[in-house]
Amino acid sequence: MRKFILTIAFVSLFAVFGFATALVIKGSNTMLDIAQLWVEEFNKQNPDIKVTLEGAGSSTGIAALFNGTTDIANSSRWFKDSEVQKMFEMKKWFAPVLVAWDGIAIVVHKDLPVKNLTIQQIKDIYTGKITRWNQIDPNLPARDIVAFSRNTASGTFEVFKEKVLGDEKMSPRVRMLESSMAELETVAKTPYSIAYFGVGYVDQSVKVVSVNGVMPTKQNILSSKYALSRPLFIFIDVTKGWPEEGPVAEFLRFVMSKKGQELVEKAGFVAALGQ
Amino acid sequence: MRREIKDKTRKALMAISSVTAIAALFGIYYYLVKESLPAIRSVGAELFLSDQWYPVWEPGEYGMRALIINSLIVTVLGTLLVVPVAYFIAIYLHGFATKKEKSIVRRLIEYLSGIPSVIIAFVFLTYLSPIFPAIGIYSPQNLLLALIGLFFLTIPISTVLILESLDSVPKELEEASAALGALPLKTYMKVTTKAALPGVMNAIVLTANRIVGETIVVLLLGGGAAMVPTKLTDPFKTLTAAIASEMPEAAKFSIHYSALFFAGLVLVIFSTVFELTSVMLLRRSRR
Repeated sequence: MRKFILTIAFVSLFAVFGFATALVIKGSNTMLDIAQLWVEEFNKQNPDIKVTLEGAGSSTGIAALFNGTTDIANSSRWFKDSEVQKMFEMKKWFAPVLVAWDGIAIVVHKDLPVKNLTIQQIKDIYTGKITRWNQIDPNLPARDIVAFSRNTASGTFEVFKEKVLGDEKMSPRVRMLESSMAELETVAKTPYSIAYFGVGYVDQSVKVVSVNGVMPTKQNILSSKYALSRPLFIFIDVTKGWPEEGPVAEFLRFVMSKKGQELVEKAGFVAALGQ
Repeated sequence: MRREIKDKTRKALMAISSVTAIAALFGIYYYLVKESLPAIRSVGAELFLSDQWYPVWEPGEYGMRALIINSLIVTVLGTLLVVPVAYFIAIYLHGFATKKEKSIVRRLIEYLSGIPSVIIAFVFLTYLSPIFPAIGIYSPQNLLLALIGLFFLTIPISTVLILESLDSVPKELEEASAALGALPLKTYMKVTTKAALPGVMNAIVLTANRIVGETIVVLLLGGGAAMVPTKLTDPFKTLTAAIASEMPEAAKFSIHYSALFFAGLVLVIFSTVFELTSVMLLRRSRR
């Protein structure tokens, strides 16, 4: 019996240390779809490098970079001032790599006859100044607006806050959801609802409205004509210098390769190199 | 001699375990208070008095009155919903079910109590949440859905605890009551329940504590709106949901980070108050 337990213990130890993860990627929930495609293809090309991927929000990824619990942080936003400050305090230096472009799509329930919203109208909805659809247009239903948002750990939330809300605060009536996929599914089944998320998540189950008369098409996102365009980043720790070799370097090379950028487009986003 | 040594070793091990448990408890209190101090110093009474929970805005606002009230609302409503049902199931199993029925149902209940809360939350989110918009309630995650989730989560443990305390009452008491002409239901509800009161109270407190500390069900089914719900179909957010969803992003040692520790401290205080109330009620009932 003792021998059996020892064998099990030895095998478990081997399982833990013998197949240790070589590359950890955490962060943006928006970028999870792209990252999954990247990791799948990267694993085919580099079967010896074991990759783990987790999408819990850009802020969570950046926090993991500070804690040293991730090698790569995917982020759908730029650094916050507090994070830059923290880098100075901790004497850590993170470098950004622009890997894709995205537009934050404003989506509504597919039966809602609304085609366009201005940034001001979106702001009024999310700050609680406008609460019923017919306040936007008398022809729209006289029903309460059901607004959904990503939770505060999300990079999409941060960009939305910066580009739409400005200094004003989001109404406490706005429902916070944990992922872009949850938003998509909830809007699809909730009449009179509105939400926002990366354009790569949009499908036929919801309706995308134009913002200030501009649709989030590839051209409009790349030219920044679409008001809610944004770059997507990979952040890495370069405190000890830029990685020239090793898993992080290999992965970055792959992401910026023709294949890596094709996968960005396949996921429904816009390639960083504007393919 | 050998038996004496064994006995002493056992006693020493027990003493070490008890001291470790108490030290861990005080350690938790110490760290919660220590980490909460920056928020208490910088935000002050607003922590309790304001409904403005905007931790990621500049400047941040940390009023958690709505979160505290929501935690209490969920706990009170959840306990009121769970305990009577658990009590009647327990009474049925204790007095009316056959041995075989009791054994099967008990096994099933014990098995149910082991199902992780995230599974319950996920199932309700997937299958029950879409029903609300379909019947004209345009808030698929809300207080009612969370209460239903909490009900299924806590009913097994509450039932098992109440049943155990009813089963521990000496049979002679019930026989004496029956001999005086009391019908079985009256005996179980008046005599057995009264004799089992300490255990039943304990079950109520444990149920309330389980609900106040529950995180994943309220996080996924509650809708995450930091406001006090005015009706059952409104979304809401509790202290535990705020801690779970915001702790990963809160910069270490920031006011936000400290405020979330304060939320943890409030939760621990709630648990302590529930426990003390039950002790007091029990003492009063014994007099």
